[in-house]
Amino acid sequence: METSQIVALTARELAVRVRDGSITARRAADAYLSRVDAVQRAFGPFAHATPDRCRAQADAIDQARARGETLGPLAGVPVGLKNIFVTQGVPTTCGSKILSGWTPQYEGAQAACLRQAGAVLVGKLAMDEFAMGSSNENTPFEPVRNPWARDHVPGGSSGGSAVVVSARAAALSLGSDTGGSIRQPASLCGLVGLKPTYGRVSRFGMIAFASSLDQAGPFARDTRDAALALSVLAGHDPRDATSLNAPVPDYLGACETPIKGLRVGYDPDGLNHEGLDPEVRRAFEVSLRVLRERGAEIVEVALPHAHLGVATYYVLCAAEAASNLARYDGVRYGRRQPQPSLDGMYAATREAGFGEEVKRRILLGTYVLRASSYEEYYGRAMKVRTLIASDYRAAFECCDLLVTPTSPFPSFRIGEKVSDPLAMYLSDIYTVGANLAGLPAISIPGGFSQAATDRPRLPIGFQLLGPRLAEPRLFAAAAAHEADTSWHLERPPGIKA
Amino acid sequence: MIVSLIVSLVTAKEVMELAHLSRLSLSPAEATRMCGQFAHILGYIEMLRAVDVRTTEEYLSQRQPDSSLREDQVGPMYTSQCALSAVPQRRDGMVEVPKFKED
Amino acid sequence: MNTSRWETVIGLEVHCQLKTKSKLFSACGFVFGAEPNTQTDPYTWAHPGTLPVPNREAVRFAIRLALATSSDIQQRSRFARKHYFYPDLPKGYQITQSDHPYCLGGHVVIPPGVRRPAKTVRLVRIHIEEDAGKNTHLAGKDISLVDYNRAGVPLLEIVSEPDIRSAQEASAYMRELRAIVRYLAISHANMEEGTLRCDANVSLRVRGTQAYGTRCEIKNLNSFKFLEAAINAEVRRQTALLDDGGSVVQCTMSYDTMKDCTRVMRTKEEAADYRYFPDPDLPPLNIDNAWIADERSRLPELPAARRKRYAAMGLRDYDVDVLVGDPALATFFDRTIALGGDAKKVCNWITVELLARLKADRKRIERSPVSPARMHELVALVESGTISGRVAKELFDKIYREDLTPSEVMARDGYQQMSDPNLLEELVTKVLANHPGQVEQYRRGKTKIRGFFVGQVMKRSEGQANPGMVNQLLDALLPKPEN
Ligand SMILES: [Mg+2]
Ligand SMILES: [Zn+2]
Repeated sequence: METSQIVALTARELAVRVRDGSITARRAADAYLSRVDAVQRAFGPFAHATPDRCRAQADAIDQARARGETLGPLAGVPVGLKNIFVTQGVPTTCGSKILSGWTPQYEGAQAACLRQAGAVLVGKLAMDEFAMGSSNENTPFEPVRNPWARDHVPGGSSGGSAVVVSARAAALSLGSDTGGSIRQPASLCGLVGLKPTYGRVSRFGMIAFASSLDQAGPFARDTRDAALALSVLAGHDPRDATSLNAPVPDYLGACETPIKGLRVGYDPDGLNHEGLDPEVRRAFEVSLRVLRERGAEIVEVALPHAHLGVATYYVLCAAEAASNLARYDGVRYGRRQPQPSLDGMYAATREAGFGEEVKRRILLGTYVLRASSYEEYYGRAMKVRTLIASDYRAAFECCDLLVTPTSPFPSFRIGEKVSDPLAMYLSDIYTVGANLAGLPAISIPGGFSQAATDRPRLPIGFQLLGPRLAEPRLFAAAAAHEADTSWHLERPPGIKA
Repeated sequence: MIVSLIVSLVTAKEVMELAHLSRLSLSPAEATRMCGQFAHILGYIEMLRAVDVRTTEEYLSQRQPDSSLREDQVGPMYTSQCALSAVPQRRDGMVEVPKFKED
Repeated sequence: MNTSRWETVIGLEVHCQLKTKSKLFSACGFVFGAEPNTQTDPYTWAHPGTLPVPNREAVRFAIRLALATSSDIQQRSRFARKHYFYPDLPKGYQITQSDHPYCLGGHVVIPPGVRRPAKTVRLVRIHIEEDAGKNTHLAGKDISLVDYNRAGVPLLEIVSEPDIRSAQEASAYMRELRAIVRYLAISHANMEEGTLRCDANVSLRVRGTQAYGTRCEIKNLNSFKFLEAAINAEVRRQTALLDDGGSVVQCTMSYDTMKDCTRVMRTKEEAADYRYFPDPDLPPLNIDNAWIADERSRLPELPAARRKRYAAMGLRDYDVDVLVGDPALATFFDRTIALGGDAKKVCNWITVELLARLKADRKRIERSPVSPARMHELVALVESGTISGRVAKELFDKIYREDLTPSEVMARDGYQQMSDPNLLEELVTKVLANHPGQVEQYRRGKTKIRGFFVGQVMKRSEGQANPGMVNQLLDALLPKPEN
């Protein structure tokens, strides 16, 4: 089979062929690896490619098959991992200079899950530093580019994870989503991106940004690949005290459930946002129609506190980040900036090791947690968070799913928003709610902006949110939407496979 | 979007205090820039102050009923060699840092 | 001190290390005294991506202490992060409990001591937290070294109300707390090893007034001796300040053991802002009533109850203290008297003979070569008059050194009892005939001298005379004393 044919297969098709022996894992790995250099040159999604490990893992799968062993659901599927996931023996920097030189001596839950399912690791992927960003520009390294338009951002913070799947350098990838960091880049790169229910996927081995919001999830080319990936990742992990001990349903099977009669809610107020791009709004209405024609009942709901989401989110994520990043002090691992005094060493190490956005959030987080401002900021934000979560609970009395645009705008030019942190934060208006309330949400391809003189044709995402653990319902609706659209089948210009 | 007029202003001096608390050494120029961005961000966050939260509890993730407690068992541990291999500066099996005053 | 116009007011914050197999939040073992950095895992080092999972046993130990101090266990409590940068603190924060500790209130009753009545010290709270690593400062070098073995080991912090009024009371409180946690088998509670540590908040107020004065906290008091000395030094410092018309400034102090004085480490203005907030990695800690009831049913007899029980047996205060001070020793005593015998005599044998031997051999009571059963047998032989005290001591020495019962030793080594009434009568008659002066004294009422005759008979019989029979013969053969 030609390389282009192999990389054109979905992850589940590829796994089927590896299991039945029609393609060896090694051949599949080589097919993907042959694209790594060109994709890296063009878009820069890799922080650290792992071709040797990839081939060795693929060979091990072929040997296991030869011995007659049963292969896993992702047998021979080349995957990429955001560099936030700890991989034993493979450098893991979380996109920061402060972790340069750190090679983990333990394996995280996510890497282990994928490996046990038969997936092979293509590489560790670029990201905004410590997952703080929406464009992949918050990086001491080269910015990552969008395969749909090289001078545009891929979104963030899991930009590299979106790009490798979009540019066919991996069949699947894993990202992390704290305020939209999977769904927004999936939307900007024309992919399916899933943020599962908080606690559905273990956080053990995922470097913490904001612990109460962080959740790992897959990037995939279509809904069923995302469902397959989640079935491998989901489950209770005793090493994470916030991990949910709930049965893992048949996610692939859920994709076949008809949605006739499903009540799909949307908040009309949410569409009155001044920053909402008219093309995104138009695409959203098209997606609503697609669902309605499949038999879904579209209902209007109110989320009275939704407009407070971004402000709440930024207070909380800054506070948790300031705390989580206190461990990067140059004492035990990573980079140390030698200085004669201890405090001098701390400050010099953190000054040289952290980028501007990270420092900004650490300062903001320190500010909101100080005894003098705790009640007014952190405490208050935690209360507003309760109100936001109860809005969703109330909304799900009236509907089964909620839909929104994923990002208020399609991709933007590299450098366009870097000077205005607040404008960048507003990328997250539709995505932070799911993190604040711990709900599952998926972004699926929902059309394209029209090419214009000042903007190329760019992907637009459509977001579905459900109650806790309602991933099967999300997959059913996403698959139904996918059945009547072809946006997910489009490839970025120049990507032949 | 309701933005209160009582925007908290954070002075450059306060930013430097925050920087010290978080062990970041900001240059005066950086501190000034951060000051401006802080005003901007805190101005946006002001909208939270307009919300009546007097009867609202702080958010708590819903969770399964059983406490997530671990049995008292010893699992995999690092050898000291393995643990120390990541340490930037070590001596006599320990982690070396600039001398500091104990308090 | 009582003559001073100032009254000393002390509150203690005690840290007690729990003896769980693994650390508080990770499955990492901890052995005291191990080589540096050999008791670690990814969590201990705060390696990125690691997460805390609480140890059920540590929580169970915490519940036991709360029950033993009548502290009010909260059904739902939270872990919080306390932030400060320090090389021995791997994550840059300590996981502790702040606004919502697992228990509130309670008290410790200090038993009466020399010229000191019993006293109840109220507790503010107890909370669960993790320990930090250990720093070593190399003399003459500009570097410090850090060992993370201890980082993450579970601690209970016990915060008392300012109910303590003297250094002696403070150390008595610490001793009682130590006894309690040892009885509960939750901690080695050894100040020298650092498994029991103490900070003292000291202030003065005009005797007879209610309002508290400004307090200073003395950190890291790691022995009973230094605890008392440091408090006394701080009281001297504050007294001098106040007597001079000055005022005390709230600050953190350290105690200089060489110069026997306290010195300021940092003032209130320099006090850290710890930026506490609930740890998002840890769901609330739920302790339900069933768990509490279960632990309550497993609670051992506590020092106070045991003290009362021993006092009721007629043991002297001193002996009660010796026994109660070491739960293993008290258990040994209980097992011995459970077999019968006079409590005071059993106590005497254990606290005098046995303890002296164990001490000389640097052995703990748990490793005593003499079992409670053999101890009982030995005392019973003496009580029944089968052997004399002198023979008993010889026997004790042998059963201590060899794995034999007293009667086995007696059989092997030919300890024949001289119980022939004719022989004994002959012997007693001879002794009385040889000491007419003493017999006369006895007749005149100096009955205490009777022991002298017993001794003489024993001497002549080389310790083998049956003491019971000797006593009977003396009753018969001695003249009736005048009153
Ligand atoms: Mg304290
Ligand atoms: Zn403490």
